Amino acid sequence: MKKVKDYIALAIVCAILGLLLSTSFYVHRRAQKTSPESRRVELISVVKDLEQERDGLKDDLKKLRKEIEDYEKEAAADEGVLASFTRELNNLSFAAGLTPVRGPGLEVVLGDSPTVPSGKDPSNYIIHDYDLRVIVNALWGAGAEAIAVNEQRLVGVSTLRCAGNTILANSTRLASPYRIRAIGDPDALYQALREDEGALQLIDGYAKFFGLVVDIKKSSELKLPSYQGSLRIEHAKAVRKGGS
Amino acid sequence: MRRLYLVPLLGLMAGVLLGFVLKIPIPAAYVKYFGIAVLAALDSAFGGLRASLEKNFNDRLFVTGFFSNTLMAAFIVYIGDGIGVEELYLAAVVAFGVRLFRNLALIRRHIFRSRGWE
Repeated sequence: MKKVKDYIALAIVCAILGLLLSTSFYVHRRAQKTSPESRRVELISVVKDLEQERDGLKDDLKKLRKEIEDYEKEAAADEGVLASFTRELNNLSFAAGLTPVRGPGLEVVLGDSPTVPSGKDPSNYIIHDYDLRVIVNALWGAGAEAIAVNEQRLVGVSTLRCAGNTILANSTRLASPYRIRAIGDPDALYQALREDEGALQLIDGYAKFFGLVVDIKKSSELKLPSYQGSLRIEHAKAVRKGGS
Repeated sequence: MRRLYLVPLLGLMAGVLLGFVLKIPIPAAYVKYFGIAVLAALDSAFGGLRASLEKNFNDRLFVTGFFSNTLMAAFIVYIGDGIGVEELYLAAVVAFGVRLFRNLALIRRHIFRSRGWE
């Protein structure tokens, strides 16, 4: 009977071996599926899809805004009360940044350094989101009336932020060189950049040290695009005058 | 009695099925040690098969060898990582790999000899 015992021992061990093998296969396959590399490929396609969707929605929005504009124009033709509403509407959408604007101002071009010496930290040689914010804030501070970064008009709900290694303006990806255009008194805007501590540090300090591209030009005529993003307000409610 | 060799085979299949049904989640950090343990287990199993063909199979030696080999292999690789000698992993892979192939060759030779094909 020794033989039977041998086989039972073998069977138990083989069962455990099988368990180990299949678990190992399963775990390994799962690990491959969730590896950073395949995750990245997946995420990139998700981002691309979403961006395409967003662009489609932006086009829709543009069409709808155009439609509204047409209605407004129609309404403007009418006399009386409607005309004053239309005037107010025009003023408001102008103030909200929903119309393209032009005027004198300042153009600031910031760009990544063309070369990064080997062995140096490359993040020192590129323009960051906070660099753009420093400039934009200084320009707002100096009384800029409208600002756009590349083709993104900055309005009340605009953001300038960093996602991975790209800068987003109004959640749209930007690429170096970054062209900041501000409409306002060119001299005042220029002076503001010479007086703002953060801007000076960037323009005279980091830019010169790391070879970042900085080009500041006064301009007598700048054209800024209108804000293309959404203005949907979901949570905020207006407080009535005299109400609590 | 002749069909007894099917018993371990059935055990193996049952184990494989159990593994795919249970889907035991091994944390990613331990996958490496687990792999080495599987390699050691595979080596022990082939070693047992060889021993039985050579007619010097000992069930106690086999069972204890299987478990101690498996656990020790994983443990030694773990120790290697702990003391900064990650290459110990390679040593284990090479050692078990060489033994595995040698056992396979010997098993093949035994089968040939027992059937008179040589």
